[in-house]
Amino acid sequence: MNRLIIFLPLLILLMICFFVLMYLLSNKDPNKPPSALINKNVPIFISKSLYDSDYVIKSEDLKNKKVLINFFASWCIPCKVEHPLLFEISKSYPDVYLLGLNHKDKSNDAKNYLSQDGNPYDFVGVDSDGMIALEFGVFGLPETFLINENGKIVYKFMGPLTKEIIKNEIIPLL
Amino acid sequence: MSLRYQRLLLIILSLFFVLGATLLILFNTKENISYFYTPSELSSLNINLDKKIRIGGFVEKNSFNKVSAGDFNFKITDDINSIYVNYKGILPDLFREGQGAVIEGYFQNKEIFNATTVFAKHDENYMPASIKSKLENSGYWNKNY
Amino acid sequence: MSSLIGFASLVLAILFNAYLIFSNFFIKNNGKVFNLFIRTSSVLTIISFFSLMFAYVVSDFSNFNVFQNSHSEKPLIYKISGTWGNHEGSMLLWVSILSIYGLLFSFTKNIDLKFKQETLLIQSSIHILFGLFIIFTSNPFLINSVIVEEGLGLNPILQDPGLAVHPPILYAGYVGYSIVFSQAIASLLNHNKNKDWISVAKKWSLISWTFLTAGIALGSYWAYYELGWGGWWFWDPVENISLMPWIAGLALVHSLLMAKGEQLLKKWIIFLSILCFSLSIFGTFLVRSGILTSVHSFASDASRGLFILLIFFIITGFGFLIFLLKTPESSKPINFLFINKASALVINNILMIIATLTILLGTIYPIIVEVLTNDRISVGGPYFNSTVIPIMIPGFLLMSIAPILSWQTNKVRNARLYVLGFVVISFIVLIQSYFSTFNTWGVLGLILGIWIILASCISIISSSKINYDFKLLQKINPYIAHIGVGVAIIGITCSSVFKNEYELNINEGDKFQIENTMISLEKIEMTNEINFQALRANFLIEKNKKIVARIKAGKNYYPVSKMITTEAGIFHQWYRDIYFIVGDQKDNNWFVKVYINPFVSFIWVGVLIMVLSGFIGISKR
Repeated sequence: MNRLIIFLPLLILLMICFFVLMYLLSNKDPNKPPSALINKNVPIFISKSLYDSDYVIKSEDLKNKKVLINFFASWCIPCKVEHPLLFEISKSYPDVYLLGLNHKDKSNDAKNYLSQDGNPYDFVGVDSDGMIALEFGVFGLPETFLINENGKIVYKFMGPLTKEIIKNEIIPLL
Repeated sequence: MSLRYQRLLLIILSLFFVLGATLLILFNTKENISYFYTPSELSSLNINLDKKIRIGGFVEKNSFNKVSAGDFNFKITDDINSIYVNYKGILPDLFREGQGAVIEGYFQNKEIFNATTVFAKHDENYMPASIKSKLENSGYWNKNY
Repeated sequence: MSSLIGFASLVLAILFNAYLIFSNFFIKNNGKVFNLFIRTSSVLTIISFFSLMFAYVVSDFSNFNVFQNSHSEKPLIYKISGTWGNHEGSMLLWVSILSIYGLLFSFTKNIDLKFKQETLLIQSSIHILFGLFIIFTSNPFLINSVIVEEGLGLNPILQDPGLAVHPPILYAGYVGYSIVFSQAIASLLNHNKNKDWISVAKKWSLISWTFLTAGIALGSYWAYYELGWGGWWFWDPVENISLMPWIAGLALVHSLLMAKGEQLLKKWIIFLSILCFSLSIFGTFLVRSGILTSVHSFASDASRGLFILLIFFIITGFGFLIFLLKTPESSKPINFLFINKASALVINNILMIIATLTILLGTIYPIIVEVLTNDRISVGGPYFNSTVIPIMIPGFLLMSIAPILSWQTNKVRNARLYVLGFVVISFIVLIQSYFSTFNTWGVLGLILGIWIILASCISIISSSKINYDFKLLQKINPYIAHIGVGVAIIGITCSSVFKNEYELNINEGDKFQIENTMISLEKIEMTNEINFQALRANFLIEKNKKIVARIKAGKNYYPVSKMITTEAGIFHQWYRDIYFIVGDQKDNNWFVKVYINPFVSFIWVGVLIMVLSGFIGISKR
């Protein structure tokens, strides 16, 4: 009886460790919201060009081509890091329409940024109040969406693109 | 009192208290635990009107409606199903259409949910923890996202 | 540069500790060399911490941690507190406090040398484990790969003086238990026959408990005036985690008292010492692995979680294993009479441990359920209120009479006086509540609170010859602590049971009456501050047609981070707080929530008394 009581803490410890370990390994995330944008139609939006406000792009314009939408901003350092990789995509896959959406940025800052680091985009749209990003459920910059010919979102990536991601996840879908 | 007798008394006393605590716990877990669902999970579920429920999802676009300064209704959605929610009180600072929210309360009937508490967990600074840590590890995490 | 110094000294400190432990198996280090090594490694760890702080103060953004969490325009105090405002820095603070405690302990005199060295060796092992954790999973000295001129950390919520000092004090509490743990294990290992470790452990457990009390109270106070939810305790996992070692530590402090009555419960004391530190590490684990949903959102990472889980398992497992293998010989039987001090303390201990386990169960229950059934649940405040409080109530009752019980006999001094006092108080409270609002919990809490204060006062008066000096203060110290608890119980009971909420829709210029107080919403103004826009509603509080106070409540909007924060307005009176929150508006009609929180200030005063009494206890030799 006495022995048993002394063993009890050790048993409870083992049990707690077991459950917590199972939980950690099951890769559950209590904070994760439901994410269900994949295989949905592109949200409807209109965006003015960064360089010419008379010129706009609408979500309907994206039909019948593969589009890579990339949310970026001049204040976002990770965007700067993934920036060169976008050039590689535009060079090796000229058919893909690269749409950059400039998120919550000052237009002069964005222009400076693109003139310094180069402009890989076929079109740079302005999303100064972040409403388009809201529609896309963007959590943070950068975020990249791949849209197929039917206007469906087929791939979404949060965070800066890497060579591996492009090679393993994006290129097979192109 | 002998040592043996004393120990027995001690064990009986402890057992008595443990029993009391266990009863309290069993008695209380029934009402004080709330289950966590997404709107889609709820649609395929038999709803118990007495059960306290938490629902996690996004606040649907253009669904937010201010009846008066302290009385709101909106829809909470996971892009598949949505649920109509009534709420009286003060909305959290981070509550916005299109952003994630967790609400707690009871169903009034099959369609209408009366929220007692609204938490806005995710704002622009929010990122799912797993992705955030991935970013942090890669060294490119920016708090101003 | 400072990053390099910091990293190097951190690594060196670990190496020193590792050398000390390994060399101890082969050569017998003499006391001087041993102390030199321990102190060097402690000082190196502290240097490491200060070099990180230096990087924060000078805004050295070449350090990645500083870049992420600081901003050059932050006020100096928040730059300093930014050092521990993030995961990496806070872990470094953890280890630094561990080192400071080790350093202080190495200066303790008059204890068995072998016992002292073994304690420090165990302390070093803990230092190595957490040091490796920092280096491999959360290094605060990483160099930024991009050259930048400005940092990213400007979270307005975290910029608050209360929050700046809260973590170090809380950690001083958590980590203090490590010394108690090491002492317990060391005494097990060398079958320490003499009792002097008990008196040493008493001091250290009191230090940790006092800091933990202060830390929890600060956090709670911050939540009360900053979060704008009208309450001060939410049974949030992070709060529960800090409460568990607190209650266990309370049990420990009280069991150590029994040493005074020559009735050692050595086994039990050692068990509690191990438990306290285990709960502290478990708390660190739950917070840092981010597996619990909480209002405090901490960055989480599976690998970090696994690493701390491993540390937790090693330390706790090692502790309980030694406990199992080297069970201390049965001590003298305790004098377990029907009503004496010993039995009261034993019952109180049992109750506290059950309360701790109840909180633990409620906190990790969601994890267990999700692993087993995949259901996602949350255990709310009502569960804790309705389980923990009933368990604690008999404990509080015992507490009020325990100090007057004797160690050896069944007799109670002045028994009649106490019974009379109790009956009179119960009677008064019952009648009072009969004429106002009757609430069982409220009556119970009030009777208990007042009774504890009164009983302690009677004891003070009747037990001591009155000569006012510090010795007297030390002698009556237990009663002082209990008075603090009584005051806090009154505050807790009143502010939770008799709390009132009023929801109003009002326009500018409207007057309304709440509990004989006329309040009017004078005007609503928008102002532009340096880095935010402020919306403030000005409330005018009148009593007997005289203006008593002007209270501002509202919201701040921070355009840079696009964040809104609620700024509650609180009108403090000694017997109640009037707490204003401003909500939304429609057509200039504002939604305002007013809480009347009676006797909230008693909670803080009560805790303050407890902390003061803790310090008096520490100063006692």
